[in-house]
Amino acid sequence: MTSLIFKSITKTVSPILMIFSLYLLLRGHQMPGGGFIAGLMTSAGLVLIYLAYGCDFFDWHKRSRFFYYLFSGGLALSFLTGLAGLFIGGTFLKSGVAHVEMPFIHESWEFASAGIFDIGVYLVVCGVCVSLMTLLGEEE
Amino acid sequence: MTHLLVLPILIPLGTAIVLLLLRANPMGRRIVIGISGLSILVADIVLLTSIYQKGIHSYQVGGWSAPFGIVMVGDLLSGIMLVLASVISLSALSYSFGYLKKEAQQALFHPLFFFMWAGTNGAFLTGDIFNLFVMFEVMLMSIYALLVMLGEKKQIEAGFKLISMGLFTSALFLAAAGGIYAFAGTLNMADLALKIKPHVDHPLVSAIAMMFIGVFGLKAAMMPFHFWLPDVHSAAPTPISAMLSGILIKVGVYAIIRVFCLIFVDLQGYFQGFILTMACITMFVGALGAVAQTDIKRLLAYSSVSQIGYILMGVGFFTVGGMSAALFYIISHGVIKSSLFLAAGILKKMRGSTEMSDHGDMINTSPAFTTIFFIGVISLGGIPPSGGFFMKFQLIKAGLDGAFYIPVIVAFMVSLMTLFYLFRSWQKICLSGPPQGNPLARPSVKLLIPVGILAMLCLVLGLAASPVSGLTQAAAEQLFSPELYIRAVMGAM
Amino acid sequence: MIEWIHPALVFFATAALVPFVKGKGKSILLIGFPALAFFSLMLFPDGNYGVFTIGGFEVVFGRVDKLSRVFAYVFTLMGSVGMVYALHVKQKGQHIAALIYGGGALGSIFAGDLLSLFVFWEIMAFSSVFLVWYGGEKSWANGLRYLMVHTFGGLCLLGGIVIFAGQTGSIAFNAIPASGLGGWLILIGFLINAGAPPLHAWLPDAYPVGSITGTIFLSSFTTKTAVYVLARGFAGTEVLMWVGVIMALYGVVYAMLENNIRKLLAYHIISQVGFMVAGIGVGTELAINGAVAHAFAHILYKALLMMGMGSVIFMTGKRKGTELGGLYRTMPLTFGLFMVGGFSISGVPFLSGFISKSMVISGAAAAHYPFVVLLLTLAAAGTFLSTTLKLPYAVFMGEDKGIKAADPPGNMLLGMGLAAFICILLGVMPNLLYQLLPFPVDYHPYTAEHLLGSFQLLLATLLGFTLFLYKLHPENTISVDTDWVYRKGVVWFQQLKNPLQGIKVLRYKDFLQGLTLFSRQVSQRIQSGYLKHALVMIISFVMLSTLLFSLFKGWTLSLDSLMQTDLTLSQLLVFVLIISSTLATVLFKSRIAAVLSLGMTGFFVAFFYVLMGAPDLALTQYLVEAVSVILILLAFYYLPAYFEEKTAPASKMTDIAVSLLVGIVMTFYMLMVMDSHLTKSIASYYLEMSEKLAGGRNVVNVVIVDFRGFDTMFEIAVFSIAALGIFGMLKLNKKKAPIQREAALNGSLKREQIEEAVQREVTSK
Repeated sequence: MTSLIFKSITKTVSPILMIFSLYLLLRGHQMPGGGFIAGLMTSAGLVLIYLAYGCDFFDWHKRSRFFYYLFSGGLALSFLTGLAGLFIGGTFLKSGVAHVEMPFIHESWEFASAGIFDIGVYLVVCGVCVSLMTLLGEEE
Repeated sequence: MTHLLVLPILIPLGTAIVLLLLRANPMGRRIVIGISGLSILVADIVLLTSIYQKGIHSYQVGGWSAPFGIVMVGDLLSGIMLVLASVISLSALSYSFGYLKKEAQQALFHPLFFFMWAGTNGAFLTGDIFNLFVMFEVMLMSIYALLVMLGEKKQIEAGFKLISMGLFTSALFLAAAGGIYAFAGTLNMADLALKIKPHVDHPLVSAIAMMFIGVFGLKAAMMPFHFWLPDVHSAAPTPISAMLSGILIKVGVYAIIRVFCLIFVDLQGYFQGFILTMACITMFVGALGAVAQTDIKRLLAYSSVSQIGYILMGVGFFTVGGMSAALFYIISHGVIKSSLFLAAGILKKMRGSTEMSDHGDMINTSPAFTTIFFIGVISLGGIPPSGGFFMKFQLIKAGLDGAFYIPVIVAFMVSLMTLFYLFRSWQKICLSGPPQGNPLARPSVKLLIPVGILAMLCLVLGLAASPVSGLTQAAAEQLFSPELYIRAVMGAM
Repeated sequence: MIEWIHPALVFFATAALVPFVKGKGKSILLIGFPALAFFSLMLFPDGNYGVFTIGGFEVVFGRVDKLSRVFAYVFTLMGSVGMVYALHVKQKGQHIAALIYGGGALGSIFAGDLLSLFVFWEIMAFSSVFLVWYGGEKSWANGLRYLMVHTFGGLCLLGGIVIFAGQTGSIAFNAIPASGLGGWLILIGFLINAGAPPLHAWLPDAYPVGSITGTIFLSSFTTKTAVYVLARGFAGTEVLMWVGVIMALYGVVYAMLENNIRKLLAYHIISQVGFMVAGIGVGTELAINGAVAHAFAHILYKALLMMGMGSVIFMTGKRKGTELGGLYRTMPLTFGLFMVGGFSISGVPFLSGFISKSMVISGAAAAHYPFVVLLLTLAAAGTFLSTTLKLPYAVFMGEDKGIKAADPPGNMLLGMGLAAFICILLGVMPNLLYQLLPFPVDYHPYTAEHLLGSFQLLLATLLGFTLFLYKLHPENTISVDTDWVYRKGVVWFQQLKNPLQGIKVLRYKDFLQGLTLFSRQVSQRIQSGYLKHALVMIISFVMLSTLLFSLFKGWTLSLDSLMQTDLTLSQLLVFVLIISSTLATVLFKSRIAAVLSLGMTGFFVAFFYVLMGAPDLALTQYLVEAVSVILILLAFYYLPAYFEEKTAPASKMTDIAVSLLVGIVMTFYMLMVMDSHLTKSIASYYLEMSEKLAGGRNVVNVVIVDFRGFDTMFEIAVFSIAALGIFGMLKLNKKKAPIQREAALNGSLKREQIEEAVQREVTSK
């Protein structure tokens, strides 16, 4: 699998995938996208790198702990967002929307607390997919 | 306090996440487990008292009102199940510290355990049929993970069986939930009850009800969905076996009660014969399986199948008395069976095997173990004055009151078989001569204490049968007036 | 102020204290407390004590009246005497079991309602089985059978109680009519404990194998409690009279044939209880008095006999009459005391049996049942023949087998002495017993007629025995008809014995083994262990019943919704592709090819979403497929074969049938779903409110993270759990590479640590 063509394609495609996934994540609340799909896309990019370069590119297995904390942290983030709703005076997972006047560009941006929840989802999906891959690949 | 209702879900979920993050800190994990385990118990008890005093509670997650958002509902049935779950979980938890020696195993075991607990509590509290599906997935996945965690051939094989059957029923659950959503346009159970009531004779409703029986029957290990149970129970780490028999298979029964006392109230009569027949077959086949076993954990697993038959029988009467008896049965069986499983785990720890022929002479090795095991045996056998006697007594009385003679006769026969296999196993393990091989070590006190506490509870249930059955009676009456539940959920609109 | 001390409580308390005492203290405790219970009975007047209301029923723990009191007297008395006999026993468990057993018996006696009666009844059964089990390893199977029979009896009783209480609305334990299912079930439950044929098999099965001291208690309590409850509940039920007569004869005939000395006595219990049951069946005051008096006397002399034989076994270790003989020289005291019991049971004047047995027979006579009188007299003669003549002859007289033996330890002798003393005391002073009886007694045993009659009977039997023994000529007839019946009867029964025992064994002993075998076969058939079988059963069961239950509700197939659907060519093409790639998945032999074609299915489904105008859904589907195919491939590539797949015997037909069934039912189900929409769905609310309330225009995402965020919270938990499970499976169990595993779990180890671990590995090999 580690042919030159594959490596070259990966080199170009995976950064695009990463950036596009972040874009999907952030716009998720308004337009097609969202944490789940973005997480999948990021992991697809990482999987590509893994397939193309194997362990050479960076030491995946040293990072298995990182991915473990990635999805744990994602879970914690989503959970805390939910708890915040509870403490702000609503119920668990009560979301809030804030309109913030952005400096410099003078636009009113809409921030929903559900977006933070979505970031948690993103982290979990990403962390789980990649740690599964490293776990399965480790037997090599 | 309005948030009381979600605490039994949020505390274990939060604890699981914190435990994940505290992987490298064993001491911290212990403290967190201790504090949150106890606080869940307290929250559950407070919740039950509050429900008992003030009626059914409901809670709108995310602030979205009833049919649109997900609603948590706590009635007496949920409250009772929650308290039972926390009692058994706490015993299993404290047992697990002595059972899993390796720190690495504990680091993985405890978060998974709390995820499972959260899923269980969520299933008891949710008022939304799709959310119930999600909770079922949480439970299924965590059992699977806890099972393959020990990663030997036996566990992997059992896990494969569990996940195959579990995934089939998940698909079935999705089909049923999708169908009911398309039909009634809602997923909220109270709302479903309202929407479906005028159309109860629609064939689709019956088809969906039957699918639900299949889905929940698999969770409850009702015949012929019980195939996963013996393998999984015997392969799982002992605290998990205790949890499985004590509370997780009851989730299936809980769900059957819930849908048939809320959504499909008017189909009770239509499905009664079916449920009772399956209950009788389950009872009988389970007991036959248990008589045939030589491995104590498998024996107990089959016995659980058989006992689920009893519980389903009580449910299938669809009378207040039967329901109350079934709930009492759920409580006592949960306590008894988990204590027996934990006791079997002690045997496994002592000699590395659960084959009964590898054990013997426990009466001299450990009189405490013998006593505890004996209490479990007489309780499950239904011998007064243990709680087990009252559970069988109430059930049979309810059956005779409702003139269901055939199930009662089957129940009689099966309870003889129950006594036979239980006493035979007790005799083999405790009375027969010392086994071949290494001399027996004494079982560790760390493991004996939680088992002893559960055994004491078996006896307490017998002595306190009156207040407990008063509670189950109230819960059963509440179940047979579904309008209370519907009002509690939809009235908050 | 203590209202009343329940003697059962005294017994239970003693049992609880036993583990904590030693030596003298133990002796005092064991003898003193039952004695205390005996005297406590005298303190309190008749009445109902310990009344509670449990679950709407009135439970009476202490109904004290004359009937219960007399049984309590003899039970507590027997408790003390038996404990004296058992003092030398080291195992405290035996004492505890005996005390709980006695407590259970006392509790049953004083129970004024059926519920508490049942509770104590079961306590009795479950504590007494230990006395059997203490007889050693050989007794386990017998004990288990004993337990099963008693549980069966208990269940009958319970069922009867429930039905009876349902009919009458009360659980008070008074006279119960032997009619209706409830009454009969209760009666059967009682009769099982009384040892009435054909439900008697447990008694001679279990008692002879019990521990030597335990058998004393066993022979005292269970059957006599049954006599009490019968007297209380079923006095005057005519059927009992005949049951009693049959018991009396049946027991005695088997006793004659028996060689095992304790088994012989066990059969005698059946016979003697038969007298009591018959008395209860007659039901007149005199007869019931007789039954109660006989129970009183019987407990003591039967215990005496059991103690005697127990001592013989204790000292010689032999259990069969043919193995013993000539012991009168080495065990003179035992012999003497045993004979007191033997004469008592036979009804020799001036011993306790005489004053009670004749009372039962007189009761039957006074109630004009001549046939009963005749048969009971016959049984009495048989008793004399077997217990008082045959047994001692075989054991103590007879041919001297040169067995070395001596009289048993002092406490055993003392126990026997006490029992013998009471036997004589009652025989000489019958009024001691008579004044305890439930009905006023106007009966005088020592009339010339009675005395003469019994002497005649006894002497004639003795004569018969001697002739039968020494001159084995059958034509040597004797003018005593009873004897003739016996000798003929013995021959007849000996022929009958084998087939009878055959039946008994078939019914009873092998039943449990057969059950085990049967269960094993059935369970193996059902639970084959093949995943495929299980899945086939589960799936076809669900599908068929779903189909049936909707068919019964009048479901009809309608294709309207299907017909209304427009299908474009491109959609059709995608469908064909989906179906063909699915088929390919099934047909491919190679796992990798199968996974790839499964992935193809997913991609075509994604394509279908594109056609339907749902690009984000399509993208999600596409990514899910991509990632999952890669993960599955990785799994296939790297995972070792953890388990050989147990493949069920190939049956393509079943597979095809099940697949077709699922396909058809689910298709019909989907059609049905499409046809029936009831009301406006909540989806419209989401569409309206998404932007207004949740601040998001992407409704799907708003539903996921906001409206149903709770679901998502748990779904990501499921996701993480799956990762954790695989983590555990792969990381915690690599037996081959412990170093790597440790490294993985604790983060990275220090270099020295790894080297050290490697060193350890190497040296250990």
